[in-house]
Amino acid sequence: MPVSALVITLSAEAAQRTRALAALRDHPRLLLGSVLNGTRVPAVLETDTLGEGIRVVEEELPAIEGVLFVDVVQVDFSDVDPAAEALPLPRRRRREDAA
Amino acid sequence: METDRRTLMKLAAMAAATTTVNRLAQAEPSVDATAGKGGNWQKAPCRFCGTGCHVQVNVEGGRVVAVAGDPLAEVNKGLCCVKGYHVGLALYGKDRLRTPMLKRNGTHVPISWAEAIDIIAGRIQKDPKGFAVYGSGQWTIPEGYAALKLVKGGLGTNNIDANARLCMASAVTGYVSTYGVDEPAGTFTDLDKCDVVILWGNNPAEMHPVLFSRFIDRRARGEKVTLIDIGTRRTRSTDHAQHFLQFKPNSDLAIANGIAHLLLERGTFDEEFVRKHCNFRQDTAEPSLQGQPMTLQEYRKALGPYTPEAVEKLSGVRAADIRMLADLFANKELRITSLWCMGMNQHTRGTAINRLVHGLHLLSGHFGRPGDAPTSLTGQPSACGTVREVGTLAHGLPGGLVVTNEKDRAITEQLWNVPAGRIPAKPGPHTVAMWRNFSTPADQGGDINTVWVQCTNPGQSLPNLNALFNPSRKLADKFLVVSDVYPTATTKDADLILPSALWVEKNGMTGNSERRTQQWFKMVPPPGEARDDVWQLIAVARRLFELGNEGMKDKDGQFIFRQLDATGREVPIWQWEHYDDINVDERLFNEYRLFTTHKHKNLAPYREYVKARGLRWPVVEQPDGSWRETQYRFAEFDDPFVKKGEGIQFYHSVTKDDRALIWFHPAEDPPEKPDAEFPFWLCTGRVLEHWHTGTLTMRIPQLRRAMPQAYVEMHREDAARLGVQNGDVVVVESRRGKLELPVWMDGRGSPPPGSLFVPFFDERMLINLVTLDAHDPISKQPDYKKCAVRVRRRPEGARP
Repeated sequence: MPVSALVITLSAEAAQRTRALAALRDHPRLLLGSVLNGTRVPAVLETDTLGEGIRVVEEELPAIEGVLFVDVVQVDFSDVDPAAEALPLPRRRRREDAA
Repeated sequence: METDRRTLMKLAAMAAATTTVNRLAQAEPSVDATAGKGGNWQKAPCRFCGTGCHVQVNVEGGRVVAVAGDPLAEVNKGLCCVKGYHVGLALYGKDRLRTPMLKRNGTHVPISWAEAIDIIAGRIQKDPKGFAVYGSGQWTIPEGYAALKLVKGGLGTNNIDANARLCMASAVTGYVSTYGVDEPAGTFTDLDKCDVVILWGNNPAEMHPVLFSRFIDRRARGEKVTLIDIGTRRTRSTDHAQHFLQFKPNSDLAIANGIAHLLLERGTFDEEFVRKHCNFRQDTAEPSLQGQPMTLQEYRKALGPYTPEAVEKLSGVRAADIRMLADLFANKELRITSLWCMGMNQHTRGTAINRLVHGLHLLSGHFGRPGDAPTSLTGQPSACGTVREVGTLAHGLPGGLVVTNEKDRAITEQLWNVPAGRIPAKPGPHTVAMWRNFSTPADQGGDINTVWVQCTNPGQSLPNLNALFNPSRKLADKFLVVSDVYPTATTKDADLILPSALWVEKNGMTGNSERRTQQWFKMVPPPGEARDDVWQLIAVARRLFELGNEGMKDKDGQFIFRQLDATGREVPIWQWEHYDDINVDERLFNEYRLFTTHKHKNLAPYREYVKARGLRWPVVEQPDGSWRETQYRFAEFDDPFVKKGEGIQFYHSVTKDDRALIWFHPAEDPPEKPDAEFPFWLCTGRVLEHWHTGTLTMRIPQLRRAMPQAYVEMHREDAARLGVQNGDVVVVESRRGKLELPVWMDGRGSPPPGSLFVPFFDERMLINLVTLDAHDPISKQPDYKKCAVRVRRRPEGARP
């Protein structure tokens, strides 16, 4: 399971920031550190796959109101076999399977 | 045990994130990135874009197992984007090329390196003038330098160009014709200092996310920073902008002229700055870098038609917004940074729009102070370091010298110790011309018969592939050699494929968008028989030397790549088993840096870059023996080459009077625009997850899963009219070619009605079958951002 270190930048607007922090604290894959400088919070993301990590970093977290940006600091994939995360089937194969 | 290990991993990750946040808060490096982490961590710049983030790479058992942002790196301050933090996995795709392969009877079969080198050398020896090298902004600096020396210093031709022609050439001609010398005056530090960022057809939130996050961080801390997005479609960057000014494709020149018009008519331009530091210029009948003089009054008159209301009609941008931009430029209290990338450069009027944006900064005096800068961002890790600085273009020589200048040729021939007159004065073919020539039969003038491609994928990235690339693959006498790390659209039809080492499988140096030269050491072995591109070039040169090619000898009869060891004996670096006996990168770089003083692009010795996370040139030795980098060029407070008391000095001025040029260019129609037959605009570009043609990122399963295939972005109104929904497959067709793509509405980007966007990363869906090869008359850079297409539903029952 890959572990990623993140820096999440929050809105300067207090109410938005509070709501964002609450949502982040409720996130089952995230471990939050202390908010520093008022708007930046260090975080650790643990996911089953690297692919899921990308989805969380690129889609899920930025969609939270009050989250301005998500930067990645580090990823440890020492216990991940990249090839074990199967790719989506080629398009033609998917259609054939669906049929 | 596993729980303990995972707990430790998480603690280490939290420590890394916390350290980075602290580092960002202090804005100064505080700790060594690898301290306390254990394992074998070494520095390297990221392999992908031109931001030049530094990462720390952890190697265990000969494999890269972890990547961390480098807190000591000023560029990224410990942060990475989603591509950067997967960069280590780019090495380990299952289909890495591992052995040379020759096409025989339509099939690629393995051959030995000796045979491969013999084949290339044999073809060059038979017809040196029919041989060309097509390189890359992904070449390391020593790779580009070796290729340039082989072609221009050895073979005595100028038959070399690089893919940066496709991405940066208009930025080069913009800088050169404005300031007399290439590359930005400012640096990324401007993003920390500016009050306003103007994005000119640029989407850094996805393409340069680490830079974008610097700006976002300032805003999050409560600083007032205004972001203005001037673009043809909404992107993720737009989401963060206070102002989105959507303009009609190709009308950006009108917008720039409209701002300049108001500055002059209102008298709010910086008269003193202009009087002291600027001349005015306009094009001659045959466009050139020098143009012809015009007076301020003539300039004002030329801008007369560009009233805000007229610009609104031309561009679609509201007159009130043109006034808002003019107000910002008129305010000297503000610091304004303009950023652009492919939107302005991939443009048939690319040189012109580059000049106009520089002109706005000069006219308004928003220049020469931290935060006040016009800056072109680069898309490749060494488009600046290798292509622009080493000079691996048809007209280039190292250190900003050019083949058309007799003195520059003489300097180069002297430093290379080759006979005077070796380097021709006429530039070689630029990229489009080279590939058009290669795709033309010999009896019709196609005299380039062998092209060696390194580190790039023209079979996917060239525009109008059916004209520039595909025909050559059906001509028996055209021989294509490709050095690469994975199978690509180019290797598929290559005659000879050479497997290359990638990133930390070799030593390397690159140069990023802010003039920062970076260095790393080899950390892991390349797979199979893959070898360094520098070695491949030197091995071919040596074989030519052995075949008696006079060009491979210097004036003393010695091999042009001769290297001696500490005892004075020649090291046979052309033999792979001896290649690592010395640090060839160090030797080549220290030779190259001797060129860099002539245009004040001074580089330090190799050893200084080993110690640093990059240094921004000019790097000048201080009395105490240390080396000082330069953040702001042409400004006395930082640039050591500005005369004391001058304040600002454009010391490479085109007009030889220390002044920069403010150009006038009229807005003009593009070579192709939508009509009744082809009613849509097509724009092409990149996506966050994939880098350029996807050769590396499509091998990283996680990135491929996140963005598995190309698509066509379409406005909901157009989709309704065509009767298509998300995921439906449509045929996108131009006068040059067609392809099928699934529709995506309301996705990452939102084009307006009548416009489409297609990314170019997917080799199964080659959008460059459709694009146009029309190019800028000066930079010769093609326009990938606008051509006319039509769209229809794929007929029922049609096979994909």
